[in-house]
Formats: sequence, structure tokens, C-alpha cells
Amino acid sequence: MANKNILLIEPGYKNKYPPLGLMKIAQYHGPRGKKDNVKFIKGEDRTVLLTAWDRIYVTTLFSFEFQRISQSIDFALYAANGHAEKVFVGGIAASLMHDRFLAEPRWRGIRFIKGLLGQSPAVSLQLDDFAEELYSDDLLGAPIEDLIPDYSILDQISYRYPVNDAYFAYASRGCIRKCSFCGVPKLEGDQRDVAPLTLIIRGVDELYGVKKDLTLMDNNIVASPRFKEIIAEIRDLGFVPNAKLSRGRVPVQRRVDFNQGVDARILCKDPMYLRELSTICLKPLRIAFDHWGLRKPYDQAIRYAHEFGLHELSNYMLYNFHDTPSDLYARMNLNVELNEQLGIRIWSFPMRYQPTDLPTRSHIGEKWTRYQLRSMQIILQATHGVVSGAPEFFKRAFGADEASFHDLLLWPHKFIFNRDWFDKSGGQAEFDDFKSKFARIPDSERTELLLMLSSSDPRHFKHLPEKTKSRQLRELLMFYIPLAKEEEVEIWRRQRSSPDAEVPDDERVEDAGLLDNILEFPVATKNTANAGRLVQV
Amino acid sequence: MSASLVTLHTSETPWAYREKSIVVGKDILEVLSSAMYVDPLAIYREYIQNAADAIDEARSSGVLTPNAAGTVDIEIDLDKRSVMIRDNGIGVPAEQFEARMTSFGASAKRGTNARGFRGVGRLSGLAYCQELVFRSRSAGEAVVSELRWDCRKAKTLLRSADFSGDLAAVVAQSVQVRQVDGKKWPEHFFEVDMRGVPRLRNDWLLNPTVIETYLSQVAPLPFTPKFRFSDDISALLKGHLGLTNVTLKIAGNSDSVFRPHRDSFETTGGLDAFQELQPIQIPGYDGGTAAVGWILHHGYKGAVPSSSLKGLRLRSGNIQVGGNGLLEDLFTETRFNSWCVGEIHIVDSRIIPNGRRDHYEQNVHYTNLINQLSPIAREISTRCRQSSIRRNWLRQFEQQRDHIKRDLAIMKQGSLSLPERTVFAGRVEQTIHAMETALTKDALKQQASTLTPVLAKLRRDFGRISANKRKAKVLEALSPQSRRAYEQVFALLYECSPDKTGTKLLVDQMLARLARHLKKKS
Repeated sequence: MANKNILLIEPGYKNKYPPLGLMKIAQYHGPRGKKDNVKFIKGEDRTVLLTAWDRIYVTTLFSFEFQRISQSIDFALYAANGHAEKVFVGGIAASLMHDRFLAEPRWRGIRFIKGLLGQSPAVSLQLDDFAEELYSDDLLGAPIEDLIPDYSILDQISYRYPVNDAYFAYASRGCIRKCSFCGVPKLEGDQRDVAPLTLIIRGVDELYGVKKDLTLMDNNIVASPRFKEIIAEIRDLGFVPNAKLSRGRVPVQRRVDFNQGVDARILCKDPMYLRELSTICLKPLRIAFDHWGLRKPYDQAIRYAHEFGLHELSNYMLYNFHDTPSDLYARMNLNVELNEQLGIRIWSFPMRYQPTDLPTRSHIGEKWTRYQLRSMQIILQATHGVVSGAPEFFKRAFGADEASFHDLLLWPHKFIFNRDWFDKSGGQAEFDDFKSKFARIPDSERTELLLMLSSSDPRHFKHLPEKTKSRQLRELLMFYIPLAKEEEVEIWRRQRSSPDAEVPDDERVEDAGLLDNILEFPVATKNTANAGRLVQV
Repeated sequence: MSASLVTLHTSETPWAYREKSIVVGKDILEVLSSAMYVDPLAIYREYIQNAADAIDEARSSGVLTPNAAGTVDIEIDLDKRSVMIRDNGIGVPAEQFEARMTSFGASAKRGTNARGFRGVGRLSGLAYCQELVFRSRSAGEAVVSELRWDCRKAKTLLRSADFSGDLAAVVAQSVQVRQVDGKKWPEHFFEVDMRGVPRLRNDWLLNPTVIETYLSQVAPLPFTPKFRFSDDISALLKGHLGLTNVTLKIAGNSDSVFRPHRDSFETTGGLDAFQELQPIQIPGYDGGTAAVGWILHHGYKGAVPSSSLKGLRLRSGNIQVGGNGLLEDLFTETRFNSWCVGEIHIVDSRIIPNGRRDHYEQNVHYTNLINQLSPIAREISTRCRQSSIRRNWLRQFEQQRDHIKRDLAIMKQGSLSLPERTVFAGRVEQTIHAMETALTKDALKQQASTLTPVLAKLRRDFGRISANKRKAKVLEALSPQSRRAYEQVFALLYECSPDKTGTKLLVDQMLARLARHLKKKS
């Protein structure tokens, strides 16, 4: 039929990787496929309203971006003049929160696709041939999932993905585990093999030119029975240690990244795994350290890594799930110790847990409080989301021991945020005053303080002193009243900017949400409900 | 074959096609007549559509020469309360007449180029008269065939609880036929003769003005030759629409009826004129052309109140489908549809008007058409909004020009002290600057060529007047002390008065009076 107008929309959130699904759909409709006119936009680009679209695809990523996603779906529906049958929404959020999308009355008629487009296009997209829908006769075509992603659409938008000069691929899909915090079991199901990497990479080379890196989004590569073959294939593709790519004048270092991390519980069983991984230009090695219970396998895995010369690690640390702040501290601290002991460099990337079907980032774990999560957020903002492995940096940012970490999480945020100013500059007197008062309060009042702070928006902290009978607590609460804007600006002006560990963008945690206005009120959770009652007494 | 598959097959009772005949009850007649045509005027559309098809057929078969006009005459007799609609088309041959006039939903036109194809439009008159006669003659025949519906009788039968006959029984009891000598009749024609027409609203069905207003929009009629875009539009559509226009005359009027478009027209923002013809071609769902059409752009001063003109409309076979609001949902604000004047002619035969011709059958081809039209509607919305912005700018521009002229006149008067003058000059400078900035705006692009010289002249005047700091003669003649006193009073007057133009006149008079006093004294 050809020459149809196809619009691809990625909501206007910030994300790290290009939308692979849309790129494959672009391949399906594009010059090597149906020969349609494909237009890709990010966010709501109103110029597309001057074209009549025959089909609109919207991708979705994080479920907590529900707001932005909704905006894009509404826009798509508007661009389709309310013809919902032209609009298709797929991707991670659409799969994980499928029912929530379906339940929205204004989106009736839109097709929300769950999971992958793994069958023929007409079947995967639920096209209706009785209604003569576009390409509803494509019952035998290759699954869109298996197509080479069309990199050329990325030039149509001004947004630049932090990771773009890379092959994006899967050597396996699914996962052997069923971790309750993870969306993969719902999205992809059981672990299985997929089409050979070489096919995809050669395809991309031919159509869009050679890419520098290989980003493999496998959920658990080491669980694959083909693990050794896959590593061999990666080697054959040229991604061996110190591999360089000569495209321009200066050859550039190539690297392989299993960006979803690898499983310590398997790595610790046999040194073979890390020996194999050390034969490719893996950088960084990412080993998930989701709770303290994994300490032994994790420790073992790191030691194997060290043994085979894998010295640069960036490890994910889930928190705000079933863990406690102490658990998180112990894990971060273990990394520092391992760094010192083995002379390696492990960066910790704490990742705050959110249920995969919650449309906001408001979840508060059973052993955390809102105030502590905010504190953690502010510390991480200062370190750009990374926990340095250097002992002196770590101890300053997170406390010298578990008790001081707990103290730190309870400090007024202005002290954390403007650390230098209060530590050794103009704010020193106030800070010292606070510390001495803080040290004197009994544990019971400490708990009350934490609950009070977690029960209120910082804008209302000024009213908290009225709500307690304890004189000590009243005095202490005065420190928590946020700085006025001008005061803060003045502090920033006087403060020298402290150099942080330079972490490349492509190594950062994608959804750290450091810039989000997190944990806004009102959110009903068990903790806040209790806290609210306490405050009212 | 496995055992489980066999059980699966036998567990379901098979379906069978039935063999008994079905009943077509009498009520179907009501469904096909009064229920189909809610707007009584629609019966004129139905009969003209049949007339136009008959004329096309007459032309293609050579009965009507290429140069001969295809005519439709509507004659009204108020005394008899009757109306007659006659065309000079192909007519119906005597041997087919009765069968064709008494068939229901069995048109032979389906699959041809003809506008109608369902074979029910003929029944539209049934609900709106007491007696409905069809009369026709085809070329070369000696007789005229006639068929008469006794609508009163039919209605009674339909309403009667005692009458249990089916559709055929109703026809048998209320329809009569005959053949008459063709001597007094035209060579070939078809005629609908409605008698005993009821008075609806302001006698719509027998009101020539109402009928003309309606048919001028709906029927396949030519544009008036006086209309500027008449030829352009015809040229635009020519290659795509094979169907011809008809010459329509109503109630003995010697002038035939034209489409309602004229060069200029009223809008809610005053008289406006068409300026630009935008041709439109809509690609088909799977190639080819779905529709062609045009939009006439004007000044977009406001909505077009005339219901004959306004709206983006759809036509099939050059006959309008639906009303002027059929496409209003396409506009960002539905009201902008009434700012728009345009028509889209369906070319793709798979975009099919529904039985009532008030909308289209919903299928991919129609959906594609609507989809392709939406950016066009959005663009018109933008024009409407921009025009409204432009009018605001122009209004402000004029207001500011008047203020500057007034302030310059006051400065020229020489009644103010130097600091006061500077205040005035500052204000003028500011206003001129604001106007210059406004002129660079997109909304005023078209007006820039006329407004720029106006503004340039203001600037020149301002330069000249502010350079000349001379005081009014009479003030020069006063002692510095009393001059300052007067200047202060004048400044106060200008400051306190809400009407500076009036104040200037007052100060002019005061200066003149003062001059006279001084003259007398000396």
C-alpha cells in the first residue's frame, strides 16, 4: 500500500537509551519495509498536527512516568482526530500496567500491546482484516521484534540519548528468577535464547554503519545455557579487551555493557563465568547487590572478577524494598572495603525501589521513612547518583559508620545539601549548635522527630515546632525550616563547587530520578498514616 | 487423528441454512418513506438526484444532445396544494414502468456511475402528500405511463390494527396505474406530481424561496457566471466528476437557480470577499484519488452567518450529503466550521453515502478521507485565529496612531513648559517604538506595506515637532513669571482631564482669548 503516514512518539521524559521498539517499527514501515513515511517525535511536537496520520505508535518506559505517558497518549489521540483505532501503545509501562491503561475511558479503542511484537505484524498488532485495517493482511511477515532497529529515525529529533553509538541487542530474553521487585517476569517471561547477535550487528553495520559499543540488555546472561557460546560470538565480533574502532582520525575504545547487570549467585559458583567475561571488553562489570543476604556470593564474585583483571565495577543496589537503611549502608561499606582490600574501583549505584505498577515514584518501603528517602535522594544528588568507592569520599557523604549514616539521614536537608558551607565555612556555628542539640535528644524523641518530619511537606516544617510538647524537640525542629531561596542562592554563590568523581553518562543509573520532585504529598502509606496520627496527638 | 479432536468436533451442534420464505410486513413501507426523510426538504434532493441521473443517461444514450440543457422544472400550485418536479431525462419505457415504480430497494443503478442506487428515494414523497403520481415517457413512445399512490389509503392501512396484509397487499390496495395518450406531453421526461401537500412550518414544501435556498446548496447546479471563481472551480473538478449539472427553474421563474456563492458576503465582522481558491486533492486509502475539492479563503473577519454558504461540506455525485455541520468536529473549535467555505467532492466510489444521505457509511475509505481532511481543517482554524489576532493589532495600531497625533498637536501648540513637553515627547517616542515592534509581528505581515509609510510619517512629524521648541506667541509676550503660571495651569489641565483632545481645544481658546486681552491692553 506504501506511502502511508506513520507517526512514532516517545513521551517527553529523559531517558538513556533510544526506543528500540519504535526503531524496529520504523524498520517495518520504512524504506526497506512498507515504504511508508515515518516520522519520529519525542514529546508533543505540534507541527505533526498538520499531517494526516494513518497510524500512530506510542512507546512507554517507566511506569512512574505515567503522567508524561498519559500526555503523549492524549496527544496521539488528538493527532489522530479521536480515531483511537489508529493509535497503538506498547513498551514497558504499557505491559506492566496494562489494566490501568485499558481502564481509562478516554483511551477506549486504543490498542495497548502487552509484551513483545514477537508474532507476525498483523497478529502482534491485533489488526482487524474485516475492518480493512492497514496491513491487516500481513499474517506471514517477519515479527517486528526480530527486525534491525532503524537508527536513522534518531536524527529526526533534537534529543540526544546518552547512549547512542552502540548496538542494542539481546543475546537472551527473560530470566530464570522471579524476584518480586522486578518487572522482567511479567514482561518477558522465562529465560530463552534468541536469534544470533551477529545477524543484528551485521545488519546494523550494513544499513547504518559500524557502532562503537555493544549494549546487551539481557536480564541474566550468565543463566543462559549458551553463555560460553555467546561470549565466543562477542569475541568473534571483535569485542575483545582493548579493542579499538577506527572510524575517524582517532581510534576509539570499544566496550561491551551488560547493562542490566549479572547475577552474583551464578558468578560465585564457578570462576569460569568471570574468566569468560574477562575475554571481552566488558566495561563496566555490573553485579547486582540487591540485599545483604547476597553478601557471600557477591563477595566471591567480586574476588573472581579481581582475579581475572576486571577492576572496574558499577554495581546496582536496590533499596527501599525489604531492606533497612543499615542494610544499604553495610552493602555500600562492603564495596569500600573491597576497594581497599583488592585495589579495585567499585562504584555503587543505589536504586530506589518502586513497585512496577505504581504510576508515581511515591513508594516508601516498609523499613524506610519519607524523610530518610529524601535525605538519601539529596546525598545522591550531590554525588550525581554514584557512591564513590574511595573511603574518604564515602565516609564524608554517608557517614563513618552505620550510626552516623542514621544520623545523617535525619539531619536537616539544608546541612546535607550545602555541606561545605555548614561544615567549614559561614554556616559552621549553626551546624555545631545543631549537632550538640541533636546528640542530646533521647531515642524516643528521635523517633518522634523522624515521624514528624516524614509526615509533612518541607514547606510546612515551620509549623512543626508548635506540634510537640518537648522543649528539646521544639528547639531542634527550628533547624529544619528550609532556607529561603535568596539565602540558598547566596550560599551557592560563596561556595566553591566541589569536584565530584567523573562518571560518564552512559554508566549512570537510568532511572535514578535525581531531578524529580520526589515523594510529594499526599501519599497514603502505612508509615505516614501512623506518623499523621502521632502528630495530631 | 487423535481421539480428543474428534470429540471436540461432535460436541457442537452444526448450523443449517433455513428454507422457509420470509415475511416482508407492511411497516417496512413507513421505514422506507417517512422514517428515512426527517427533513421534508430532502424529498426535493431525492427527486432531483433521480432527475440528474436520468439526464446523464439521456446524454450518454444520445437522447439529449451535448448542447441541449438538462432541465428540471419545479412547478407549484398553491390553490391545488400541489407541486410537480419534471426532468427532460431518459424517462422510463412503458414496458418497464410499472415494475420499476413498484419495486422496493432493487435499483438497477447499483454498480453504475449513477448517484442513487438503493431504489428507495422515489418513496420519499409518500409521507408528504395525499396523492403521489409518477409519470414518464421515454423517447419514441406514443404513450405516457402513470402510476398513482393513494397516500391517504396507504397511511390508513399502515395504521389499521385490523389490516394484517403485507407490503404487497398495501401496494395492491393503494397503487393504481394507467397509460395516457402522449400528445400533450414532452418527448421524453419523468415527472413527480405531489398533490394535497400539507403545510409544514412556513409552508416549506410549497415555498419557492425555501426550496431554492435548499436546492442551491444541495443540487448539482452551476455557479453563477458572475462569481469570480466559477471557472476555476469548474476547471478544478472537471477531470474528476463526469456528471453534469442540471438547469433548475422553480415556480415559473425565468431565471435558473445557481449555487449560492457570490464574490462578497456578510460575516459577523462585516462585509468580506473571497480572495483565494485553495484546491484540495485527497489521496485514496490505497492509492488513486479519494476526493477533490476547494476552499475559498477570505479575510476571516468573522463567522459566515448564511447557512447556505458556511461550512466545509461533502458532496457525492455533486449532490450534498448531510448538512453544513457534517465536518465541524474536524475543527479545533467547532465554531470555526462556520468561518469556512468549502466543498469536497467524493471521487472514490467506495466512499458511500448512507441510505438517508445525511452521512456516509463508516469504512476505512471514509475514515481515511476524514483523516486527510483534518490537517486542512486545522489550518483553517489557524487562519481564523490569526485573523482575530491581526484585527486586534490593527485596532490597537489605529488607536495608538490617534494618540500620537493628538499628543503631537499638543506639543505643537507651545503651551507647555520644557519638562512637560519632554514628558509628552517621551510618551510619543515609546508608543512609536511599540508600533514599530508590532509591525514586525507575523500577524501584521500582510499589512506591513501599508502601515510602514504611515508610521514613517508619524516618526518624521515627531522629529520635526520635537525639534521646534518654540512657545506659543502669546506666552512669549508674557513676563517669565506669569508665563510659568500659565504653563503650570495648562499642564495641570492636561494632567487632570480625561479628554485630552477636548482639553487641547480649551487651551487653544484660552490662548486666543489671552492674545486678544493683551492686544486690547497694549
